[in-house]
Amino acid sequence: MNKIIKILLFFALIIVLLQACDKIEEPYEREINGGGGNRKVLLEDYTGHTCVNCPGAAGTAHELKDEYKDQLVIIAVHAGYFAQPTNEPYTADFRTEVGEELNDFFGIVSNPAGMINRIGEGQERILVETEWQSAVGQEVARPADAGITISNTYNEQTRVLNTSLDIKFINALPGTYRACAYIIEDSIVAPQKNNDPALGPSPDWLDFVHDNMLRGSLNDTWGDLVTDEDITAGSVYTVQCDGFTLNAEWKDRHCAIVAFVYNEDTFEIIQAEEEKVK
Amino acid sequence: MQTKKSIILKKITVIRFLYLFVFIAILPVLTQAQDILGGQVRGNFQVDVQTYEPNSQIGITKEDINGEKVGMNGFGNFIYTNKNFTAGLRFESYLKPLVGFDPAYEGTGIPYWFASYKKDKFEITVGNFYDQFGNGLIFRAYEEWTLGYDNSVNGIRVKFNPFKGVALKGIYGVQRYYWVKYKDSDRGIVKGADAEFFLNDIFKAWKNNKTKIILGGGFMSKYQKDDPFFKYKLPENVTAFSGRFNISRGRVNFLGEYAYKINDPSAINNIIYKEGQALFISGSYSKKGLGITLGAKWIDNMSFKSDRFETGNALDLSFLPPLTKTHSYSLEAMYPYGTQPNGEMAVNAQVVYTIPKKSKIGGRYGTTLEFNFTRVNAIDKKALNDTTPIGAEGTKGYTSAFLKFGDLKYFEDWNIEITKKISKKWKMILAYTYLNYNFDVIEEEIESDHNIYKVHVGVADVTYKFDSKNALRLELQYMETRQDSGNWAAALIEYTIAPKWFFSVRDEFNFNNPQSNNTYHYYSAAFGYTSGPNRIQLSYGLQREGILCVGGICRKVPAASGLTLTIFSSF
Amino acid sequence: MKKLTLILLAVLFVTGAYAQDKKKSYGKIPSVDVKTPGGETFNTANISNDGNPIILSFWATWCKPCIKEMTSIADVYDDWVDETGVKLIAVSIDDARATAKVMPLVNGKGWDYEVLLDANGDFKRAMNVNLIPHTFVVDGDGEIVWQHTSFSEGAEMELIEVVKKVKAGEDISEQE
Repeated sequence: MNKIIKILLFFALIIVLLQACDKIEEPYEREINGGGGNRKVLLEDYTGHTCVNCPGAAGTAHELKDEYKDQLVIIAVHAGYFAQPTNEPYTADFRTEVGEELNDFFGIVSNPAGMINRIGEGQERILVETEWQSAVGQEVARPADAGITISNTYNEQTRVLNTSLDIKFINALPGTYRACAYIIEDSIVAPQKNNDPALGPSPDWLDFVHDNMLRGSLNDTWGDLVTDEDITAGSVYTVQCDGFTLNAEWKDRHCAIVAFVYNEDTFEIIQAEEEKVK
Repeated sequence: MQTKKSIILKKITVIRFLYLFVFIAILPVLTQAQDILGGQVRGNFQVDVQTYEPNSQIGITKEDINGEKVGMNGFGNFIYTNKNFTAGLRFESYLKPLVGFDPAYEGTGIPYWFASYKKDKFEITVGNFYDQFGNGLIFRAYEEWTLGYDNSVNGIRVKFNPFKGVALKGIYGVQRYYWVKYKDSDRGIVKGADAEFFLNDIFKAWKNNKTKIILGGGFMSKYQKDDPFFKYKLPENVTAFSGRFNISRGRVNFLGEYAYKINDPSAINNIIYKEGQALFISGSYSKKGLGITLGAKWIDNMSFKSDRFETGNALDLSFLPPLTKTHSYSLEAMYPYGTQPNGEMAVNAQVVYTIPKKSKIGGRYGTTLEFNFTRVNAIDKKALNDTTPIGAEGTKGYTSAFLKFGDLKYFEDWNIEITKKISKKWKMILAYTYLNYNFDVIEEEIESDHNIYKVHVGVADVTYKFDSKNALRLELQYMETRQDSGNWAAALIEYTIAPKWFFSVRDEFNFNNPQSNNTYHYYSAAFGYTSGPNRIQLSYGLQREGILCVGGICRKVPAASGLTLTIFSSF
Repeated sequence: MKKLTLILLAVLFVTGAYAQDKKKSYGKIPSVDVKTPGGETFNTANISNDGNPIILSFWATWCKPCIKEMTSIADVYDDWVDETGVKLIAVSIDDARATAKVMPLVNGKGWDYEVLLDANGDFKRAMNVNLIPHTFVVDGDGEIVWQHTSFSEGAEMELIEVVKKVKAGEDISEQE
């Protein structure tokens, strides 16, 4: 009997020693001391109209935009299973070739899912909504390695858009960089599934406003090579994307170009920018 | 200009076939028990290959397939045993993963290896291991190949049995996350300990007591570093505790387990700081010819993962099995239930009764009746105050009443099955199932009762034996519901030549679909050859979209059209 | 074309595998902790039957072919025991979802088998079982001498043939 008690005591001791419980007391919120950086960050929100949690994620994206203003650029990529057109009222097809290719390439299976500057490796790149705020906070606090200036020349009659991206590298960087120019559209009213009655009508939110919707790319999914030279501090390059015709169904006054520069090997985006088409 | 993606894809295609070739070439050499250095190597392997083709009738387009015409999942498992020493490894290859499996599995490698030494009272394992504490409420590491689920722990495990009736174990490590290395991720470190006491062995006076009592308990803890950029404070150390008992006396068995978890804000519970609780109890009575089981389960905020921001089927520490019956016939299994880790209250009853042989109703060979009932509801959640909605992020969430049913029905299942051997040649199983399936809750995470599917399913499974080797089996199923895709029926004819061959053809079809006037047929044909522990199976046809569940985990399998080959061998 | 190559390769390999000599033994039963229906821990190295053969059958409550196999054997089990002294141990791989339902099912069905619970699949993995039903025959010395996966009507006849031969100490290398 004595032995048993000893063993039990020993075991209890181990439990006490190994134990560390962090009981958090209210208030649960905390001050975040970030800021100071000037990096412009890209948030890709992979979404779909039959994804019930996606309005919540879109809301999170909007909140972040309110907080970081110009330092945050958002695109909403409608792709994959939840973006497929299906039964009434979800008959619209907001998928794009670019979006499908990205969705496939980065292996996104569940929605909502996001990438912040495509940082990380493999699965670690894909972040659930809860992780966005912190990841964006960390990125905006970093100094920028490059600046992008977007110049759009748009003909309202022909709906043809010529865009040039002037990319200025602030620091010398190793690696090869590519630049993409995607086109997005705001304020598209279309049905969206929603499981949170606190946000809006549930389960079907018929007049949901879709913002930042990816519509296509001016230079393919993977963009153009910025240069094949070594990148030195202060070097400037231009990527020209001419002759893109806006689809007749898009409202040009709601369209904008989102440009970003990324490392070809790591896919990490070093800078993003947004400019209205007109 | 060639894009990044197409280059990568080409590389993968080449590697895929190279690997498959090497894999297939090497295995025959190993397909027998080998003696090495006085020890023995045994193992098994399985390869599943599926080809995909477009099918306009069931809505699979070229874009859906997207150039991925072949998928392959394969594994080879080797275990070396030499007296007290055991070592093993598992090679896995997913090029590309079969449709429905997580694409994160794409790749090839050795995700599982271990070495273990056992001597007298001690056993130590390093590398990967699977284990569970009690019923698994606070810890279960396991794998389920058919689901693509694996949460093994990589680290160290020690088992110690100081004397008869006392078993202690401790674990320390990190969990598997697809192919992602620990240092490239932010998942937590897990540690835990468990003790089990068999009182009849410990106390001499109880030695011959007919009542057997087992008590157990343990804790499981995870450490995941804080994220200073996150807008809420996060606990770095989260611990869960559990206690359990098992009392049996003759025909009666009674067991239970209670678990408690401290604040664990996570993506699954929407960053609430409430504690988690779970209770699982079950009692049974059985004697020859009769078995009765009653069970209840109450779960409140009990998702427990080693990464607070993981939302998928990975990195689970807790195992919260549903109490519902696992159905075996395809249409009965069309609407399976998966545990709601944020809260559910379930009760279950099962009765198995065999009407004795040679009785009036039992017939010459006896008749077995099985009855099963399960009901799952929400738990009773109350808002913290008038201004905070239930489960609001960054709050304590809600208050709940212990072991109390909430109003909303999640799932209900009534099932009766009759198994009867009519004569030497005829055997028969008849089954009827009535389900209530709350689509909004189970698939959409919407707490509402607007979409509760009411489903009736009838099954007849008849076997006719021509002689001692040849048999024909006919399986007919009919399902009726006004919701979702409407009615379904299925027919299967299977011819078997024992013990090696089987051939089958089946058709599953959908009619009275409220969303479409068409009748969709899903035809398929299959044959299989088994020789001892080796099996090859080939099937061709259409496969409907479905949900595959084992234990508490479900996986959505999309519709597919094509050829499926499965090879399995054990040696 | 790729499809075809793949299948051909696979078929080639399977034939290759069968062309080899059959080993007479797959070794002893590995030592793994499982549970008895009463919840006690039991080490599988202690499985024995006084020098008589043992049938080890891996099954689960949700596996229809497994239940059919056990039911077929149950009809003739008394005769088997009388003839060969064999003992069938039914190893359930049901997880915590159904472990409590295993014994009531076995009893309710009227089966006289010994039951072990392998809720976390440790024994299953040590025995290299992936698909169930998977049945092993163990001889009087504790050596695993025969195994078979899947069940079809009438397959129990082959199983008893193997058991009889094992009991008599005859060669079973022709039995697959």
